[in-house]
Amino acid sequence: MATTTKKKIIIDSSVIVKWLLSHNEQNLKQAHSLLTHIKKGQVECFTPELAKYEIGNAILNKKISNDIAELAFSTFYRLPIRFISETNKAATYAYQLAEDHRITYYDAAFMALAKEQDAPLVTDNVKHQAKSKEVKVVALKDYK
Amino acid sequence: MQTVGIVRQRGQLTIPDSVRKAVKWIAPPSAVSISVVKPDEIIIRPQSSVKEEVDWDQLLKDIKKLQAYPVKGTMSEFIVWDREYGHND
Repeated sequence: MATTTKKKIIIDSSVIVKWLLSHNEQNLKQAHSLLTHIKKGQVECFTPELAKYEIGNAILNKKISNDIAELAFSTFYRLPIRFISETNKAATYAYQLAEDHRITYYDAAFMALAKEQDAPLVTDNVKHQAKSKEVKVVALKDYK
Repeated sequence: MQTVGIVRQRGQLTIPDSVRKAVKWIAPPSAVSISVVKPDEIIIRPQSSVKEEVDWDQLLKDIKKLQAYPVKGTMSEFIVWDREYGHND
């Protein structure tokens, strides 16, 4: 049996959207670099199921045509990202992080998955998510 | 289908007959991809399907098309705002 080990990364919704409606977005070069690493099989990306709803709401907010919305969803669901359901343990940890660092449960849910998977969280929202020393957080602008 | 297997010495796990009959790709000498997705969940998939499931040319073309589409503000800023204030509107 062949065994390959990919680098595991948790990605925040703020990064995933760089591959969708990214007009005016910053750090697109780094986002492209991450996508290239996924394509080459060097990196495997995980994100909480929550990302589906956050990105759905962000697409809705942009008030775009149905055709473009359909393409955005179709592109999103074709991205090789594994969506992970929240476990009881991760939920409890997310709650603690949110309480301790005064961040939203949504921000903390991504950090808790990173902790659970023992993988870094790549995000474009470091202001809120880089507050805990227990979770390795990589700002998208620093991703190489 | 759900069945029970026993993990033996050095982590060896025999895929039960019933599963092998139902899933043709579990046959020697097939390569499989093993992913630990949660502490209590492992996904085993055929290596070939893992490689082929993304049509990268089309995906990159669609990403480029979406990137050129003008939108007001940015999606990433909206995500951050929505987490903080969206539910209070």
